[in-house]
Amino acid sequence: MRFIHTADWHIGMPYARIEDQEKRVLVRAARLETVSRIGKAVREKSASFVLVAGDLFDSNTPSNSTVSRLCHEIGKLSVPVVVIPGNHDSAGPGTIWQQPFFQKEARDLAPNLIVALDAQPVFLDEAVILPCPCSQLGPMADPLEWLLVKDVFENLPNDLPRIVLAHGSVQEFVSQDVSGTPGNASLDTISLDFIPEGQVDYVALGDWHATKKIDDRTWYCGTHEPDRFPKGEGYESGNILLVNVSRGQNPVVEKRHVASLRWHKLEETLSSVSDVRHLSQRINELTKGQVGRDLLRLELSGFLGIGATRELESLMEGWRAKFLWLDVKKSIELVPEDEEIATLTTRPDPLISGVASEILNKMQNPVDEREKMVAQQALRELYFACQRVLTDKADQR
Amino acid sequence: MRLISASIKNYKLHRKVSVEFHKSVTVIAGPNEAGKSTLVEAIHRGLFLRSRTTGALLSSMKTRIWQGNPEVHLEFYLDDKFCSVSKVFAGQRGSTTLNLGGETFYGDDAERRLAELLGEEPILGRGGQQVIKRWSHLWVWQGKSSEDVAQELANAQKNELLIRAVQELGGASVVQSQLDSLVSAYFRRLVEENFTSRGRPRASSRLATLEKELEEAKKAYGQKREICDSIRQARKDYIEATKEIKALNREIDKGRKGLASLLEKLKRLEALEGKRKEKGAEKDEKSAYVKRLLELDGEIKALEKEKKEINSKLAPLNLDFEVLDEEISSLGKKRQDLSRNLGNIRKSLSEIRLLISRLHVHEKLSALQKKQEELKARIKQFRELEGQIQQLKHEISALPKIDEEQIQDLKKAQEELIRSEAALEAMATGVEVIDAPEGQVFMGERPLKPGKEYTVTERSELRVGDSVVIAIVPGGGKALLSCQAKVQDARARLNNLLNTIGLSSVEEALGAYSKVEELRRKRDVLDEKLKDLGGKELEEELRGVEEAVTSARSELSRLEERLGHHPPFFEGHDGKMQFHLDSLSKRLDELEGQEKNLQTQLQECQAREDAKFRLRENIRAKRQKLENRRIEIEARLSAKIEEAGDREKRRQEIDRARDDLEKISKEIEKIDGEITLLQPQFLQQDKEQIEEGLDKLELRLQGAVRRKVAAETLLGQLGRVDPEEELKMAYARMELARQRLRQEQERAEAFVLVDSLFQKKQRELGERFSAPLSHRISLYLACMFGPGVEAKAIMEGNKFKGVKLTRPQHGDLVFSFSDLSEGTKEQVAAAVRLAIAEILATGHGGCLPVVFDDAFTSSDPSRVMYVQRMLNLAARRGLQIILLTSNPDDYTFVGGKTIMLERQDRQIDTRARQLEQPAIEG
Repeated sequence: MRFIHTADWHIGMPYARIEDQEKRVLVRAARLETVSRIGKAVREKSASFVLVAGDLFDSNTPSNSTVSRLCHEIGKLSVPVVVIPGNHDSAGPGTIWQQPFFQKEARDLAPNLIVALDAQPVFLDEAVILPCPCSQLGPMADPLEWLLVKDVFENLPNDLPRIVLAHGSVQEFVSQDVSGTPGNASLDTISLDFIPEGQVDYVALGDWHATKKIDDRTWYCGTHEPDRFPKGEGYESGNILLVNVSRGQNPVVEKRHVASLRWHKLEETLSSVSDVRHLSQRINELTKGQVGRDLLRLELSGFLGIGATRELESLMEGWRAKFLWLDVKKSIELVPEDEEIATLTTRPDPLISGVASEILNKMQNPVDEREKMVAQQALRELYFACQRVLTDKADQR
Repeated sequence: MRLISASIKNYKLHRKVSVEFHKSVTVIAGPNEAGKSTLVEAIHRGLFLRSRTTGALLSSMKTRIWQGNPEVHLEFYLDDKFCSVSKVFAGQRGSTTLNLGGETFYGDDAERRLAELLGEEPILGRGGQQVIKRWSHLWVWQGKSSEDVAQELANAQKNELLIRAVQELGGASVVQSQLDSLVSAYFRRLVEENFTSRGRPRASSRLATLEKELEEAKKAYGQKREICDSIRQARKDYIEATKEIKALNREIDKGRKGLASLLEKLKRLEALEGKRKEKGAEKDEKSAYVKRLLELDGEIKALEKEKKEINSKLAPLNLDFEVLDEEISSLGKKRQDLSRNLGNIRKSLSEIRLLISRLHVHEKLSALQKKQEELKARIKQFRELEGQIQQLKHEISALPKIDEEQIQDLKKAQEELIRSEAALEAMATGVEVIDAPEGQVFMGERPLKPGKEYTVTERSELRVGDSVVIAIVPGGGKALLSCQAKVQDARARLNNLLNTIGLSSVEEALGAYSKVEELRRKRDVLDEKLKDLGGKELEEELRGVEEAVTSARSELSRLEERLGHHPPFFEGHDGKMQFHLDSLSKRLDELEGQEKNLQTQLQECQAREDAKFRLRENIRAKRQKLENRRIEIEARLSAKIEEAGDREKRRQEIDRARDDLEKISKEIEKIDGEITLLQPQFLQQDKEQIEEGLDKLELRLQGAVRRKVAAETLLGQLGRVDPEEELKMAYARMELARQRLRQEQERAEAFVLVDSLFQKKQRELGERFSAPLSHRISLYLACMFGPGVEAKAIMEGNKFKGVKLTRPQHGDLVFSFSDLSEGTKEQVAAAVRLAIAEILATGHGGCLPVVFDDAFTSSDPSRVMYVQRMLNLAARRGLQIILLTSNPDDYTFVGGKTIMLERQDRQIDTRARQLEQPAIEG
């Protein structure tokens, strides 16, 4: 028997930091579009059902339009889709799960949707699901705690595989929020110790956005569509898991990439114009000539002269247009080239050279970081102002 | 350039005048209208005005007095080269000749070269009126001395000249370039675009817009945050309220059950308490009955005891009473005896007293009668005396009436006569016939008898015998005559008096008088006797005595009436009567003593009787009281015994009642035990507590339900948008706005930094640049105002804009030129001119003339002294000073030479008298 393990769809994630509204809508829509690619996998692999291990929605108060569109997508999957509330869309009064609108849309558009709000077995034709929903009302500290209750497994059919469906961090894994909004990071940890030995055939976990195997029968599938820049090597997201499971045997798990957007991260230290040009080349390689599919975090450090800084800035304008999102973390110091300094300080204009010397002095011995920044800016402005005036004069001649 | 000489012809009032200048200082002196100003004007025109000038300017130089065109010829050194210029101002025919160290130029060429030499633009065409502005920094026209020369320097051309000169002095590159100006102006503009003059962002600036955007974003975020918070709160409220409702319902259930059990207990308690009350009443009744019985018994016993006591008290009282009764009757008898005796004695006493009184009255009567007799005798005597007195009066009246006064008068008259006669006799001559026969001797006709002395008071003839006649003339002359007169007078008076009385002599008168006196004395004696007899009162007295006799007689008869008998008096024998009285008195005393004795006894007896009586009454009262009490007790006793029965009966009743009481008490004890078990002291309290608790729980339940409903309502409204998503969006917008603002602020700060640095550099540059000028001005001013004075030439951009002064004696206050007094302005302006001239002189062969035309008129004499010092300094530093004044004495200490111009009244030549002066050069 085969089923699809997915999680952390975070439908309705706003991507608020993407300034460009059009791009933001595109990125947002990608999460929903990927669901249809999951449908493709269902059909190709004849999956019996789909398990969504929490955080179906990005919040537990999504808007009605989000609800409608998602229900429509789920309905198209055609197989049972079992969902538990995660920490982002945890169950509770006035949450999405209680909203009449959701209930109606689910009924009308996604009759195959099973929302497991209670800690009790869900019997499917080919498996028993043991959901561990995240709930604000739950009496238990850990959603898995109920599995310890004696008679849970006693009445379960012995021939059907038993699958625990849960959401939360297993010990050291604490998920991090992509949106950057404070106060929403998951601190919900779960303990697998509550699962009795030999009673369960697969544990489908959600909350960790990259694919991660905890043990042979315990997996984080990761989010179906990446929502953040990679955290480092081996950070693999955008997958679903195709799980082959039967009672009393180790499951066979297969990864399948379904994501559409590419999230990149580049860290560079720059010190010259040629560094800048080299960086430009690397970025071009990343996008492979495509536009509107990639998101990039650029973490730049080092120091550049006035001219090089200017070149970098103009390049960046181009990148900004090509990428869905360019998130720049820049801590490049302005260190003018000798000839730039000379241009300013050794000219026959006593005022300009005097002022430039003073600014340079401030840059080299700033009172604080702020003064340093201001001085750098001031030097650039002075530099360009001189250039502009000289150019104008030349033009006049 | 150093002037050597000037010659002028046909210029205004001057027909012809020549002056030679001293190389350093020349003072041109002269009274008003001597043409001093005209002279320097002519020199100025010679230097700057084109010779072909026409029109009003030309006319103003010409004069109708002199024929011929105005001519000016000047000689000067330039860089040690001798030069000269000659101009004839003749309109189009005017000529200019310039000789420069041997080279000669003519016409406009000469004019151009000259202008170049002087550092001014040539005035070749029209615009000759501009001439006055030429070298105005070196040329102080009359009345312009206090104008701010620095202001004039603002004039672009001169400024440039000066700047150039200063640059030559200070350093070529210290002036800001054009690029400097453009770039600094660019930043100035940026700052002005972004900030107000107070340093606040301009409303139109990007900075302000971004600030506003951030504020709005913050506000929006706050609003979204509030919405999310309220949703979270509602969710929390809902969960809590739900939990609370459940818990409260449980509590309420528990409370209600507790209340029901309590109510049951209370009901039971009520029943028990009812019974307890009933039994209590019964017990009270019974114990009251017992009490009553015991009381009654006690009362009977007490009454019986009391009765016994009364009886025992009454017995001795009765005994006492009888004894007293007897005593009182015996005392009564004794008292009667005593009073009878007393009565008898009193009767005897009364009789004796009457007898004594009768005796006294009788005695009194006898005395009265005796007196009566006596009085009658005296009255008889009185009548006889009265007759004698009457006789005497009669005798007296028969005698001549002469009184004492008349006797005195008579005596006096007689004495007067005697005295007069004696006086006469003393004067008279005594004549005594010792012996002669009688009738022989005669005095006149009067015979003188021997042995007798005669007195002759008047001339008399003594005749003796017939033969002898002797005339005797007594002495005294006239006195004799007056004595004689007096004697006659006295005699006459005496006779007169005697006539009045009707007697013939004094002796007669005296005799009559003494007879009367004697009779009177007799009468007086009789009168006295009469008086002694008592006079007229005697009869009255007699009447009184008669009345007393009558009354005594009636009293006597009254006494006798009372006595009832008339014992005889022992009359006529005083001793016997006295004896009788004495015996009576003795008897009286005896009886009185007895009376007193008896009376005392009687009183004593009476007192004793009274005491006994009182005692008896006392006992009687006591007895009566006791008896009354006994009667009362007996009555009460019988009543009570009737009520309660006898002793035995009473005892039985009491025992029975006590048994009943004990039984009831036991019942009550049992009920109390049951009540105690119910803890009644807590029951009501518990009930109230539970009820109160239930009320509170209900209230809380209502509150929780309300909260739940409110939360449900709010949560039910969700769905249109995702508030969490909106919050994230709002946060991102806020952060973006913050970041943009920070960048813009950094940019704006950068502009401000650059701008402020430009301004700072400009200031520094300006100060550095203007230093040579400032230094020189300060140097000259030090002559005036002492060391420490500091002048600063102000530069803006590349221009001198003015001068600022700092004077130590003014507390380092900074002054602008306009702040100064007129006098000081003149002096400061002079210093500035000298400094400028010095700097400009570098372009004119190291020397320039500076002309002061009456330039220090507002300066006080002490300052003029300092002005001289300043001018001397300028001369030493290479300038040529030309000073015009009408008071040459003011400038005695200026070195060089003084030229006197005299007033010209249409003279042919203006004579310039030159006074050579030793230069005070040092």
